[in-house]
Amino acid sequence: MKTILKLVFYGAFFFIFSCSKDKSEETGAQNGVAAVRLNFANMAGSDALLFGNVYQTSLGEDISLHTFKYYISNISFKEAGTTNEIIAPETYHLVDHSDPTTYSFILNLPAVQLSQIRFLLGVDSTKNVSGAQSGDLDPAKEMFWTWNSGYIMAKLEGSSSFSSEVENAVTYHIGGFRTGENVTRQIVLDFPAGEHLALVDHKTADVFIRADALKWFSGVNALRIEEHPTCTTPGSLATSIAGNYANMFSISGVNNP
Amino acid sequence: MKRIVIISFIVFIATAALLLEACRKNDSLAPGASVLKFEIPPGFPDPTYKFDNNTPTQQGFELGRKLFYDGKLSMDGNFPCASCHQQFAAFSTYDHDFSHGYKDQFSTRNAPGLFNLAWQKEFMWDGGINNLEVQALAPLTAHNEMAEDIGDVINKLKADNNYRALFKAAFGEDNINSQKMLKALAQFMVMLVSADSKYDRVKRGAAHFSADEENGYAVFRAKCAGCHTEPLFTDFSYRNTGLTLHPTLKDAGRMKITNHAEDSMKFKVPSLRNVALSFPYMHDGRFYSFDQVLRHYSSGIVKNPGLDPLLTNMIALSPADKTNIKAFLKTLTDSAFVKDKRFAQPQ
Repeated sequence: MKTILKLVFYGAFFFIFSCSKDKSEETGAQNGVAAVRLNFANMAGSDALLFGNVYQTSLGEDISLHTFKYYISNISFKEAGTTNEIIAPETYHLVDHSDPTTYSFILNLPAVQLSQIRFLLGVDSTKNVSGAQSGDLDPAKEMFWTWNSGYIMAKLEGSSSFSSEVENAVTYHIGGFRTGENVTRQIVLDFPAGEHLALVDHKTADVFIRADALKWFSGVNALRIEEHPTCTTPGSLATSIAGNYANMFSISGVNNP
Repeated sequence: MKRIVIISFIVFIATAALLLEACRKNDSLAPGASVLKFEIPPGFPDPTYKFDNNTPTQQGFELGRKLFYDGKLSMDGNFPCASCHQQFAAFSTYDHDFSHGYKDQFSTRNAPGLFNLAWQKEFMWDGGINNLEVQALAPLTAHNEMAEDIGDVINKLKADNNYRALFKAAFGEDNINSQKMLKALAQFMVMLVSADSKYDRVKRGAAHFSADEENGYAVFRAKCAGCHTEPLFTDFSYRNTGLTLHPTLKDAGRMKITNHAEDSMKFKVPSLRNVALSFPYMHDGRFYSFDQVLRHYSSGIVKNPGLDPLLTNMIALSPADKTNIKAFLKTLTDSAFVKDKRFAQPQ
């Protein structure tokens, strides 16, 4: 009972702040609220991702990237030592490797201890059918399909000598939200053992998350560029790539205020 | 203790609700904007469009109308929405199988009339677009139609003092973005209600069918209304009507959206309101007359895999049936709608 009450309480609390979110996002923790900054570092294996650098996939194919973007939404946390889910204010954030200002963003939360972060890679089905959106969901961000409505959840573009396309292009626009074609993935990451995130009012804690672009090519469905240099529609190829990118995230550390 | 917790909760939730309500009001309606009432015609179902998220106002509608008729939304300035959606043709392209677009290119499907969109759940012949508000993005960005980039259109609008004032009047802020442009266009399009044809007047008891029209209505109800359901004259389903595959376009229709083989060559059932104005017919405009369409359904259907079960035996129509159906279909023309000055190009 107490747990449920607590959840509802936090829910109401965040509703209020979600309203003024746009203004508070850049300024960090507000009065009477703690804050978490999520920091995304895009990687190619164990190296920081550099556009234009040539990397090897696990199948030995070369790949160099010029676009790497993905949506983070529906963020929540697990309160340490409990089963409570702390739901963050509504967020649809586009991490775009070409724009370092998108690498991190701030969420206002109550001052509790957190042991795990959960989020959706992609945009939930509701937002895919709810008409014209703004902010990071603005179709001008080039992450929206106009002929078959829906968001591109994640985008990776580059080139490889194994691609038979014009200019050796490698083009993966991964989208699809309907049952059977859903490429959003629920990501659950525990904070490192003994490193709970201890939130304090008026202060901002940091979570550092790595996103390894090379994971798109390996994992449950090893992806051979020679065979599939392009994926720009919902369907089985997209869902198999999603099965891979579901594993691209890891926590590299947390920093308490 | 427990009581205090519960009471503090109720207070909290009430506060949250109030604040939420307050910010919603700030978001959608500009101060001074006058709400437009959306009238549901007698006998029509409740609309599908979610008005709560985009309440039409006089100012939003007028902005949407200006955008609809403005070539600025296209790459070279020559192709406003209205170039393919002409009011005198119930907002279809008059007398064209395909429509003209950027750099002398043609569209690949017949431009449908625009009316009663508030009741439509999905858009385009294949239903690929799931909300009226995002429909305009497809023609706007298609290389053979308006050929523009969303960001470029927004920049053009931002550079125009007149538009800045109109966006402010409609939405309360003068920062222009694609969401506001699309919502304004949706406000204009959702108000395009066509429900004043002779058929509607007969239904209201304000007119009478001629004998031919009356007989045609009876045949229509018996043989056509299975798909072209009243009062919208479509059931919004996707059906394979036994047309041959277009030799060059090879348009597989709905299958392109669902990836399901059983949806091959299915297209959305179009409304028959204003059908006398929206020729040529079918998704690719292959038939130019009622006679050709009726000949198809009575004797021209190709039994391709996936043919709609209602058409397995074609539709038996005598010469008299055809004459009468044609007379009835002409009663679906809404002359007031196609001349309604509210929907015409702003002066």
